[in-house]
Amino acid sequence: MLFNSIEFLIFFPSVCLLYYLIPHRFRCVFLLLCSYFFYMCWNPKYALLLLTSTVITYVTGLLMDSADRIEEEAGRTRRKKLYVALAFVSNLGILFFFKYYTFAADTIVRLLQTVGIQARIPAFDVVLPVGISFYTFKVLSYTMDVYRKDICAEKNFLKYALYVSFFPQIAAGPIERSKNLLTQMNEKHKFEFEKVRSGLLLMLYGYFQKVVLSEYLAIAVNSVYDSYKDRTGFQLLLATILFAFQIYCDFDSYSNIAIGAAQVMGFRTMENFNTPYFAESVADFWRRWHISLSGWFRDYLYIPLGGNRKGEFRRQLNLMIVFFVSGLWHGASWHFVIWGCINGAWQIIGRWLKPAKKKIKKLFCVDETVFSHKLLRMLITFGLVDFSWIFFRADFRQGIAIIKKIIGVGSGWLTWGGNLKAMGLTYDTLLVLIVSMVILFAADLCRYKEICLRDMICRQGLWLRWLIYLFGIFGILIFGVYGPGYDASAFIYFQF
Amino acid sequence: MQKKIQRIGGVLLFCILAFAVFGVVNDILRLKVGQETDMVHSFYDIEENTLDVLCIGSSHSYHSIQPNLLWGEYGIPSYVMSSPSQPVACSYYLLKEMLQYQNPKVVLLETFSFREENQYNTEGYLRSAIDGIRIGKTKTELLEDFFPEYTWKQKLSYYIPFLVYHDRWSEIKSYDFNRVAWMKGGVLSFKVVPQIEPDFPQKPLKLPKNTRKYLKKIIDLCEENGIQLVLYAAPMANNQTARKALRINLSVEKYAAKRGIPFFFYQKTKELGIDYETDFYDDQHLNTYGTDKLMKHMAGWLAENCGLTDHRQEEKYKSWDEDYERYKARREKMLPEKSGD
Repeated sequence: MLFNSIEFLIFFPSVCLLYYLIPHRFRCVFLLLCSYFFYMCWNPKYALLLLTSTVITYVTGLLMDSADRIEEEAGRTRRKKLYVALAFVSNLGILFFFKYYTFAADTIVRLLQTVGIQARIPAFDVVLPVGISFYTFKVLSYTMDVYRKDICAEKNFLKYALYVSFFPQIAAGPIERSKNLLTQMNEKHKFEFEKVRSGLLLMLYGYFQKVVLSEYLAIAVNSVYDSYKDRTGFQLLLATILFAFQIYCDFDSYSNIAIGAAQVMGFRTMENFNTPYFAESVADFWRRWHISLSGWFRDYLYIPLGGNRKGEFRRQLNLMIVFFVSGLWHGASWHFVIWGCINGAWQIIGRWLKPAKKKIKKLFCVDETVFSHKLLRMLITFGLVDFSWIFFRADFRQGIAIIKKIIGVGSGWLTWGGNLKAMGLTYDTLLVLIVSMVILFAADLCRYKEICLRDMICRQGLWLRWLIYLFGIFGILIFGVYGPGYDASAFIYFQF
Repeated sequence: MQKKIQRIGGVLLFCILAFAVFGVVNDILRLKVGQETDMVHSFYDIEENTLDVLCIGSSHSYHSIQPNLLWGEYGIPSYVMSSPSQPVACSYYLLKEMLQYQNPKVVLLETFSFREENQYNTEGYLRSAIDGIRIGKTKTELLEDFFPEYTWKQKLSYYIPFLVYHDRWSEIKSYDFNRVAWMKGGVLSFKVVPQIEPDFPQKPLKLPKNTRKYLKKIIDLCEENGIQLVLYAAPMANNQTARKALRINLSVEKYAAKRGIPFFFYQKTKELGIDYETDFYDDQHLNTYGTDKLMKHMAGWLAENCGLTDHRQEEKYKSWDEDYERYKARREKMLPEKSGD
């Protein structure tokens, strides 16, 4: 059940209505059933995997809790490490089998072929369970938090199962920390009009990002990338820039709908994006992009590896390991790994160039506080990040071919109409796209300036508020890409 | 408590407002069959149980029947609920829908689409015919009949056509705001495209299975409701589709004779005096000059043989006179010699 499907538009209001109508003591079970129903709409069998991960980490959590009562420190640590290992091996094992087995087998066969050995590894035709990467990381974060005693193990299985399967987050995050969400399972959520309205507004904005912006951008990007050989460098450059916004709108829209939906039911969830294209460095970008995943890698991989505490070389190595794994997390393919490594490399190169940049700034008396300097940094960061997106969207060979064509950009300039047609757009759709991009920019600028647009709208007089709501609803209904003939395209991040 | 009531009231009011806006937006964006004529949708504007003659069929029927002319000359209230390439299966369901609102004495069924072997030709043509039908028993029955394998989600866009037509925003025309319901499904066109008369075929073509099935249903429906069914074939120009339709009409002639259903095979009888140089709108359809000739014959026959009375002096048909005046004014305006074309 996708957020932009008619089923969800029936499911969600029904769930909310019943949620607030039923007594508090039944709400957890009710939401748990709804969450499993939501998940099983994709493939009922895979709910068993979700349940398995939940049971394993629930039990290991309890075991770690009981191990904490062992007085002897060495024995206690040994036991806890054993339980953590059990949780990690079993969950990562499931993830590996369903997501990486084919990729790993294929890589091994190829490697062996290069040294002249013909090998055959049995193949399994398995469909990737929706959201497996997200909920696996969620349960592992819980395991680590219990291990580190950041939280106590949850005794109530139903509450823990709801934390793992919470339907707004199950398919594509945010990868919520147990510290935040699990504790809210005990709260009594009253219907609060302002919160519900604010949540709905966020969902509306999310739908606008997905159904209008992301889908129009997808038309342009897919038209060019799907036949990149026949496209000019200029068209590929445009499509690459647009892809940066497509993937942002696509993923941010999912997060906004998820956060908004949780808020309507009274849950506070973490933000997942914070104006990433206003970032002034690649490192800054990763503090703003997919925050829940970046935070996960920071807390459960980068810091345990030693973080920046073990010298510059280890710091850089740790960074590359994190981005290598991050790439792999995004997809079982080498081009995702390359994408991750490029992002890691940008940050390392950035550190190398720091002294030189300092000298240049001193030489030219650059004022770092002025707008022009910030803008230049933002543009350079966008360029670097966008370059890496090429390998996210296309595989390695295609990516190289596209870059070669883009470098020869001058040779491919075409007429305005010709480029528009090649990108699958018309003057009308281009106008919608431009207006939508302006709205996106304005909304992000407000967020960047720490102005809460939703609060601002809610403070306005009734006529203006309603006018904004109506514009939002009918803007999506009229200009959105949906309906028969349109394959309700999954959110890009579903494949992870 | 007062605040709660205020909020509930506010939410309800907003929902009503949103639905009202949706109604307006939907009305602008929905498909208008026959453009400004908006023939399927405008049918619901007609006062209930006021029509004596209903016409169904493909584009050949709205290019050959002019309800305002039938009113102006004979005082017979009629309506054309046709759509492009409307196959008999769709005609059957449209008739069924119309009979929920009207109690006509005569149903005219044009036979051009009798050659269609399927329940519908393309999705576009199907939607032209049925999207305008109100949500209800007929639409549900039709969708179950046409798409037994479809899920509720696949059928949804037939109940809420907005799902399909929301992206008409880039092709909005003035007729999307100003439809002319007073045309009662008829069209006016003085465009002349000279044609060649097709050779009359000798060898009949068998009526397709679906045509037989739904024609039988139409016959039964008319019998159940005491309605006189009249079949007719509007004259056609010389093209491959027309030649096939003519051969089918030879079978229709036999079929109709066997069941005692009147059938006007104008191409065969040549009683209209159609001039192929002046009476065609394109290589398929009659223009208004051709329509006038067909109407002259058909209206006369209906008035004489179907016991239809002249309603022109009746109070409840007052608006029909006004519509006829509008029709005449537009016709005058459109006449080539007046407009200087």
